[in-house]
Amino acid sequence: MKVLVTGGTGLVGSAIKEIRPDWIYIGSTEFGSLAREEHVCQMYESVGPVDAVIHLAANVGGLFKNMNKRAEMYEDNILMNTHIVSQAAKNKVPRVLTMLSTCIFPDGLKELRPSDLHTGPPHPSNEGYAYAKRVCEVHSRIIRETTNTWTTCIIPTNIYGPNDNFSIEDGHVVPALIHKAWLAKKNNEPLKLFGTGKAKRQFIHSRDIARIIVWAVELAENPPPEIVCAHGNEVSIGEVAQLIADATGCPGLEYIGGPDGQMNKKAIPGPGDFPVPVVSLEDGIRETVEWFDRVKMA
Amino acid sequence: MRVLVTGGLGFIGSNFIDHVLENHTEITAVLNIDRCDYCARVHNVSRCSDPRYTYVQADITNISKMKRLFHEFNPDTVVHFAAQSHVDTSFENAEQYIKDNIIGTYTVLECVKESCTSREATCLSSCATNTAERSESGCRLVHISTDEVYGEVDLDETSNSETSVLNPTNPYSATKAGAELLVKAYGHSFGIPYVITRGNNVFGPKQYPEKVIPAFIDAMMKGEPCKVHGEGRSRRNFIYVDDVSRAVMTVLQHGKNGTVYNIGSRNEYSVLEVFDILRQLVNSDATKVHVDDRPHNDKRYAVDSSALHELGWSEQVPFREAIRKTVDWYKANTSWYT
Repeated sequence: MKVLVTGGTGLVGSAIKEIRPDWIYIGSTEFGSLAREEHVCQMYESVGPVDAVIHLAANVGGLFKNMNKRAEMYEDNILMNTHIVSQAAKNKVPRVLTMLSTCIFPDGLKELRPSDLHTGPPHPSNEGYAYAKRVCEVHSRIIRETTNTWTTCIIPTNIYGPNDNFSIEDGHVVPALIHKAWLAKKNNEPLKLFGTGKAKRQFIHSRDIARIIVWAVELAENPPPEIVCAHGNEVSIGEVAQLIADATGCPGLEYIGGPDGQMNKKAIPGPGDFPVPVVSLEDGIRETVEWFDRVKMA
Repeated sequence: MRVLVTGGLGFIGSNFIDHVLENHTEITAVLNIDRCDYCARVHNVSRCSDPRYTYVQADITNISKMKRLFHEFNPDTVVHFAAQSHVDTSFENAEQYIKDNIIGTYTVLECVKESCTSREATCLSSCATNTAERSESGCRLVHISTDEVYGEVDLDETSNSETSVLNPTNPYSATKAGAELLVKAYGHSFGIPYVITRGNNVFGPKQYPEKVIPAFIDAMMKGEPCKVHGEGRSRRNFIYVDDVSRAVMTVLQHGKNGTVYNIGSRNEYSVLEVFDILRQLVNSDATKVHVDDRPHNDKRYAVDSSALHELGWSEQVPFREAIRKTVDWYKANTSWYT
């Protein structure tokens, strides 16, 4: 099976590469910005016919970037998604898998299911990113219904693992905390946390997401249009930070106040029978901390 | 080789999966289907990060789900461990045993039958290259059974060979015997390639502490008295789980279709003897309390495993060493079942 993976050097792309090293992985610089149609056409032409596209590439960032670069987050993502999905359809790629995120759901929902995706506006802080991703779901579904192409959208909760963006400003919660903990250890200080640490989230290791994606693309003949992927357990930010502090060896936690964000939102996995996440948070965090330490020390 | 394992989060299944992932590169994919019942744990598979391993949660009695998973995964070997396995609870709740052990095996057989007959079925062109590694010869079933299907063996009786009459004496062993007969019937009627293993009492790490060895270790570690059924004179043959994993793999690779293989050891001890051995290793102050015996408690089982030896298998881990490994594991993993 010949499969094209965009965003191939990122967090999820590199985890898929561990399982299927012979697929084609496109990094962010290979063809220039995939928000430009001519670059996307060039990519498909140069790779030749493929059995499937896994579209992971995205312009992502934490709160700060989403707030300050709203237009860029919207434009980059909506253009990239549109060109990649539409050129896949034009090139008659038989299977098209795209990635969404649970952060694009309407703000304030207690439970997240695919049917609720468009039932209210997203949180204003990541409006641009969220609408670009929501439109990708619409696009993918329309292609599925009108051309009978196999398409599906994966909706994961917080993914973490090696090869992530560990920037303290721009990274997601786990990699940013790992970086902060690493610095805290260096300075022999506690790991400082905003809020109370009581907000709960679901974390899934990149290897578990990779397994679900590989299963879907290779084996699922008629997957649902959207698949929510989540580790069943909700874990508080405080517990995650403690695991990170333990794995890093920094001296404990210190809460410095501030807002918690949404206290909890539980993603309900499914529909369909897909691989269940098996990497425990403890093992996953330990592995990720070790990876970061190796890279930092190298 | 693509191997589908049922009940792979349980005691023997998870140890088997770890053994396969560690030692058998010819196995390119392992799908573990498990309901994750009270005695199973997702992290029982220590090598769950292996890229060849996938776990899907499903009840083996759910036939539509099972058929879809078989169809999608397209295994060439199925190792069927999933079963209710605790004799004590089978007296109270035989229905659950009938459902999981008999209907569950029937479901697996229907899925194997379907994959044997639909080998030529169409595969989307997009997965054409993927079919290259898939077997064309049909799907083979390795059915895991127990020595308890023979019923009890007196001290002066000879060991059971694989052709001995089945004479189960409790609801658990009756459902396991029924499941085996279904496997044989599907083999005869539909030509399904199968092998059956009948094992002694297996012990080792990750066994739920309801069975005698981990139950005694657990009680001794907590300083509670060990509950001995009746007088504790029932005798059992004990075998270490690593030896069983290798035995199942030997049968999977070299077993002759339509054949039953006993997996036996020479470690025959009474429950009281097991208590004494464990007390020396875990807690010399450990006490025991005699509780009501089972409605019926087989005195002894004994199997002859020469057929398996002919395939090249032999027991490798001496009993004392195996017991020590098991005790060490429970001491190091006190939070495993909490």
